[in-house]
Amino acid sequence: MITLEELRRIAALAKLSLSDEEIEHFRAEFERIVEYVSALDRIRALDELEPLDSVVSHTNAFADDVPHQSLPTAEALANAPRHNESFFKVPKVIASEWTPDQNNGQ
Amino acid sequence: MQSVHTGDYEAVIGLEVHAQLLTATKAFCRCSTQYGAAPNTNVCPVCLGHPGALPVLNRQVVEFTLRMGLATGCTIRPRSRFARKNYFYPDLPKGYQISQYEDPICYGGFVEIELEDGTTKRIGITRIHMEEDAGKSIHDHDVDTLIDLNRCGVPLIEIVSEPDIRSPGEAVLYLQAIRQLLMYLGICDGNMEEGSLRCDANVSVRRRGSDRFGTKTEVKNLNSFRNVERALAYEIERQIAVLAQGGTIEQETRMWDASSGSTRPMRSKEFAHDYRYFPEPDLVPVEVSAEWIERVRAELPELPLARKRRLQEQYGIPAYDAGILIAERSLADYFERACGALREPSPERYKLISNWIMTEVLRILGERKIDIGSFPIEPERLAELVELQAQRTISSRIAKELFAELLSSPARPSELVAERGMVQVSDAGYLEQLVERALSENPDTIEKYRAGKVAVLGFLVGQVMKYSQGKANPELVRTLLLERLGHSDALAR
Repeated sequence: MITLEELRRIAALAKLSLSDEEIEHFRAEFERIVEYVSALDRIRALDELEPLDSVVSHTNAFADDVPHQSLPTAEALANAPRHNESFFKVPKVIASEWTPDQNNGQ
Repeated sequence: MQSVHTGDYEAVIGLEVHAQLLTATKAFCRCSTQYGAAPNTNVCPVCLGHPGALPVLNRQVVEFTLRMGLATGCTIRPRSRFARKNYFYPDLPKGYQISQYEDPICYGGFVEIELEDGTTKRIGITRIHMEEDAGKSIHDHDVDTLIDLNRCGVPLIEIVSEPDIRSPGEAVLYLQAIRQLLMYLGICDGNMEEGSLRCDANVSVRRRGSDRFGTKTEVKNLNSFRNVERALAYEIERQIAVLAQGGTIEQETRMWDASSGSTRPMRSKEFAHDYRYFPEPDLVPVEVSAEWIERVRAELPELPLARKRRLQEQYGIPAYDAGILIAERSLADYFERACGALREPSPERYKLISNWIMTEVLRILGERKIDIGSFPIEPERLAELVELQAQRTISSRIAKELFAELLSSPARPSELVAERGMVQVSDAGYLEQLVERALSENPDTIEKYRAGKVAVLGFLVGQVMKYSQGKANPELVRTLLLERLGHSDALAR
């Protein structure tokens, strides 16, 4: 059972603002998805199975540490809604208001 | 180091260190990692998160991570995989960071730190995993926030310690040990100012003697050794004050603000720990064979603490000297090359080499902001200088002049000494004349000396050194003066 509260939280994490109708709509959809997947619960000894971490069987696809040509800056910025000649522009983010783990407010 | 065991409480600290790896290219694409490049020049569809672009892991990232794992005694997981850590921030265009979650490549190791009292302490390493860095947000240059994605995708390792640290001082020692290891292994430049090495801390306090952990806070933004120490001291005191007043600690993330010298809670913390990790489907698992592990292990250099102990033993230098010399691998290499170049090696000469490095050499490196690799006096020439000094061919004052000359001359020390007539004068007859001159020009000194003011002896030696332009053998001058003043050497000392 997915509650409205859970759905609101998921929407907030995805930075989506949903109307009450939309929330109910997605809640019902989520519930169907979870129910569908719960078929797995009927597998006996599920815990003893190794989780499938990759659908292809090979491992160790590596690249050599040799630089290749990067994109020209103009091309890199071309698809951004807003930019100047060297930077992407986004609405002002207040420094350190929410800085994730690996970013340390830089 | 000041104790943080304020009253009945003790601190429990664990550190999370992020180290940028010294690869030529990013973790999952072949854009350059060069620091300081023009904004948004080292970017491509993969690190910009363009739809359909697929990451491929840089082999060197695994290689470097294995080095750190093995150097810290970690177990290497034969098969590990990547996970997506989901969050939204403008400097992370994909909307997730590729990291490792359940199966980090290295786990269960330790780092040894040397405490001030000379004892060592083991700090456990919970795990070391591979991940990618985010880009850079610039807030103050424009009404908008500007984003540079050059750093996006640069490889990092995150080194997570066990909560084994008990004071801010220990935290600094641990961080220094980690930094030194990374630099010895040649996998990180250790530059905290440029952000190549970053540190967050988990801090709690508990009643002394308790084996339960208190509620912890995570303190971020500790980007220098000094800030680590200050922030932890502040946070520990804050928590103790809260508990002492009967309050409870709230589990939260706090930012260290160096200018106010305090930590403050970050807003929006309710989302901070819901990263909804899931396996990264775009990357295949990493398998590390026993052969790979053994090759990396065989190629590990001698590690800092082991080297320190060996330098003490092999060259008979004090622990203090050895600690300074091993601070950087290249400095210890320089010392050992100089020692190896001595024609007549002896502990006295090893110690002289160490003295030169710790004082004059490090001073010049600091003044010129260069590293030992670009230091103009090669170890072989320093060794020769030390031999001239040890053989009393030149006085220590001349040795200093010679050192200064060698900085700008490619000549050998012995050549310069011969050329400039710097050879130390030990001709007793000549020196006696100078002694007489010193006494006649300072007639009151004899009486002062006999009245017990032995300090004038040093003054007189100095005068003779001056007359001889620094070439007089100071020990001989001293002996001659003592004879002249009518005292036995033993009495004056």
